[in-house]
Amino acid sequence: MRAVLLLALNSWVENLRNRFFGLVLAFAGTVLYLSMLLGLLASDQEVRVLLDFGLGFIELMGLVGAVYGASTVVLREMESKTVYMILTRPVERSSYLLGRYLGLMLSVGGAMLIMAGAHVFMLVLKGWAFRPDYCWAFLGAFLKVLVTGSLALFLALSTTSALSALSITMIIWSLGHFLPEIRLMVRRFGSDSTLLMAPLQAVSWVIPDLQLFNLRDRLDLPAGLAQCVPVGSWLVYAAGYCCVWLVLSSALFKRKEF
Amino acid sequence: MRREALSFPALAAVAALGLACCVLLNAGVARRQSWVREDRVGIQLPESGALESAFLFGMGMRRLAADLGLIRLLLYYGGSEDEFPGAEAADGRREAVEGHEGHEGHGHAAFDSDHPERSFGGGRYPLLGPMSMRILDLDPSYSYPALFTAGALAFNLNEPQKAQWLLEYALKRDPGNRQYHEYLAAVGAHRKGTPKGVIEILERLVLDPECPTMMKNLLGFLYFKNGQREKAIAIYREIARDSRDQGYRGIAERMLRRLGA
Repeated sequence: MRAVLLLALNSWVENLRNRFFGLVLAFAGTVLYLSMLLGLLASDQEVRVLLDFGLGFIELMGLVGAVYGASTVVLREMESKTVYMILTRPVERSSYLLGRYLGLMLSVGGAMLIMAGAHVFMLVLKGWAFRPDYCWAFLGAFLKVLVTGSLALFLALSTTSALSALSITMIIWSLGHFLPEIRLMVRRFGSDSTLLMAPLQAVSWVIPDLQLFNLRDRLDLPAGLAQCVPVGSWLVYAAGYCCVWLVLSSALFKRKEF
Repeated sequence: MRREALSFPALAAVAALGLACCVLLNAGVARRQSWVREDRVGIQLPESGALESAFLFGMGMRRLAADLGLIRLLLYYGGSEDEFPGAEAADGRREAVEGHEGHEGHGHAAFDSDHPERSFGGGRYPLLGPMSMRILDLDPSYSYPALFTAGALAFNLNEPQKAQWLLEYALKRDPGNRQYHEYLAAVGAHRKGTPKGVIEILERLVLDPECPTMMKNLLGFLYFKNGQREKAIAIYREIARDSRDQGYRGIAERMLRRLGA
């Protein structure tokens, strides 16, 4: 466990030194600029538009950072042979992988938090009254990023190509947001065209339901419903998916020859 | 390099176990989505924006797609209707809102801030209704665009029938929304030519913080027209102080000067 923590911390420090926080600054500037533009364009609805754009950007930035990082970090170290430096020591391969993943997610989570801070500051300046829904929406976005990051890591190790991993992850990200609709289709047409629906049904069983975490898209829920946000289920679901992909990644990584 | 060997059957077993976990997790979560508001009508997207909307849906950004739709709607209604791209090649929704009667353009001038009484009924803006319906398709719980458009159609463009159609469409998507019923009542009173009835309903509507500034401005104008100077001043002061819409703030300030406040 100590090795995992050390590796995570090391990854985090490495990420701090690279372009990650440059992106954060760029985001803060973009939010400032957009707020001025949107103020002119959306009139009465300025705050809603600013809220949606900001949360959307935070999630996208987190996604890009997590998916790019997860797809490249291990492959890059394998190519540059720096992975030898770690694995020649008494460090389990699974610990190495978990450490790298946690370090990356720590960096992404930190960057998302900074962006959310700047976003909330901007919203409050515009007269927005802080609502706890914002925290849940942020948590939902981060959990999506966590799940997708673990999936990207698995795909990078199984395809051994960062580009393929990136592409497949983005496809699964999109499908994950359509999962309620996919389930509906399977329910509605499943009995009539079983063969046609079989692949879709298989997809609906395996890919993560990202729409589950998407409170960002339902921020105008009536108060009664907003209080029923199933945070416990979110955490169990996200933890379950991360574990599955990380265990599979670890199994694949154990078979790698260097 | 030391290799922690894992045989192929073991790897397959791990993969099968992983997939089984995914199935279990998804089976559990499929039952727990009762808190998600169901879209009663279903997604309907016109060809023109289907790609953009599908992309934003795929990114999980339904609200953002609706926001972009609102910005387009405001740009359309805020500018010259002839210059808007796509105004001539409107989609099928246009007929849906224009209804069976069809109509001629009024050819009125745009809103005249110095003489608002001359301006209501200005323009035609045939895409206003379809654009608003598209936003409702994207985000059925987003009421502002429908309320804004219904107000503009009924009171600014003299198209109360279209306003009613739009509100009825909105009610199908969000039947519990009390404001749609109130707006329908206001449009009905307007059609009957009873300004006092309209004022009574608008007085309730403007209490809502999400009420479009346009409706507050309309109430101010109706007060002004009915000689209720104090009430007109109060509502114009509120617009001048609180509205995020620079245009309506300017109108309110000019009206306050006219009213000697």
